[in-house]
Amino acid sequence: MTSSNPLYASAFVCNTFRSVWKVMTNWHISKKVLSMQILFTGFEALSIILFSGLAIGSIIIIYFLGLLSQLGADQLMYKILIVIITRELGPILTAFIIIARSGTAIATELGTMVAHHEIEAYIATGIDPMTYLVAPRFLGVTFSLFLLNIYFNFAGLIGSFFVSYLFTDITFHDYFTNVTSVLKASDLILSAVKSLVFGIIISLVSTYNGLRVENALTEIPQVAIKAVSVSFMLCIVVNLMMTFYSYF
Amino acid sequence: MEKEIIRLEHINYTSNGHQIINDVSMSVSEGTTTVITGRAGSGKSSLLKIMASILIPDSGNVCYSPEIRKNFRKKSGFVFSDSALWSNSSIYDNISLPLQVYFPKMNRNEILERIDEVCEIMDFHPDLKLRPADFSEGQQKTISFMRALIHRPDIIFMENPLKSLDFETINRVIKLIGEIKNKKSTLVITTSMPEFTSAFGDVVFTLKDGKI
Repeated sequence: MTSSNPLYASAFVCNTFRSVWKVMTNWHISKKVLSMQILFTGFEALSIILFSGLAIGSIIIIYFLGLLSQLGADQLMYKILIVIITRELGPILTAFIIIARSGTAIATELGTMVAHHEIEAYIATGIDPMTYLVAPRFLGVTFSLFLLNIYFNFAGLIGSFFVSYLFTDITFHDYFTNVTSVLKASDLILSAVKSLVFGIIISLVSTYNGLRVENALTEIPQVAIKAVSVSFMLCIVVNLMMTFYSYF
Repeated sequence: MEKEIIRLEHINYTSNGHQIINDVSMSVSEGTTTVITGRAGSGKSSLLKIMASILIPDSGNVCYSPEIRKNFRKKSGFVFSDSALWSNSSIYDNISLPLQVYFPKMNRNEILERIDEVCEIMDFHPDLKLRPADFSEGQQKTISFMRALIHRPDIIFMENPLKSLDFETINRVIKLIGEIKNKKSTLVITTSMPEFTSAFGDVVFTLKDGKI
């Protein structure tokens, strides 16, 4: 494939950022694609994010509640909750869910459009595919991931509260006070920045790989697999780097 | 003498390492019907897409006259061989998107009037709420004609316009091409049907292995 060289990839990234501004000027055309992307990536993922958040929050509290009680370090539980849910698992797990749901969908959809000459039809109609197809997906996925991360955090903390309530009879007020007392602005900022960066990575990798299809329909599953594996890898590496940087 | 509006100079184009177009130079004049013919795989479609600025050649120049160059997309329409309708959009969006792009202030009633107009031309009235997958290949091709004509372009590119069409629609397209010729619009057509070439082509180019 001619489009697999780093120079092409860099140009694609630059062009996407430039096209984000053009979305605003072509709002009457792009708004539908953007709102549909937020619907598919954000709204339709709410249930799975809620379920994952509640489950993860419950598991963490079950695991640490007994352990920390034995050590007499009950208050440490809230710090652990914030570190695991807000700083680490919230952004990365949300990103994984979005890669599995929307990353594959975007790569497959764009790949099919290329193979069926639909992209050429947009060009012939005077519509820039970067402005009409790539930039709204970039904005939609990034914005959705940012909001879903917040939602996951709430779900995780609510899940851990329910389990705490069952085992320790802690009131919601006490739980909430303890959580907010250990929660720092840096935790929220790191979590928000991570979710934004992961959204950027997933949308860029998925759209880039989708548009790499040249002619054959058989290329579509290949680019979908590539989009998923590269997104996973990049998110993990970037997460590691950001966590490392935040502690040192 | 007709005015030259598109000129191709020493065009070369490769795809996946294969030379598709090999040093082709040609021109298209205003108000004429130019037919590019040749066997399957001779490079007709690639040449047409290069001429319509859909594909970028590896080398060579594509020159447009100043009046065509300004708002080229608005002044041109393209009918794809395999329809290339947007599968995730309704038929209404498929046909009306060029209007939404070129005439953003046009209201829905005006758009519907224009759609009615092209439906009459093609004698086909599809349900605008349906999607392309709800129609046969031939019907999709007819809708792609509507999309190319809706903004009343001055120059129309047609890639294998008769492919996938039934006998009745072929006659309608031939009649349509005759009407476009009478209006002195510019047509560039690719086809591998010799009878079609002789009936309509004011200028005929034959491609063989990417060369004229």
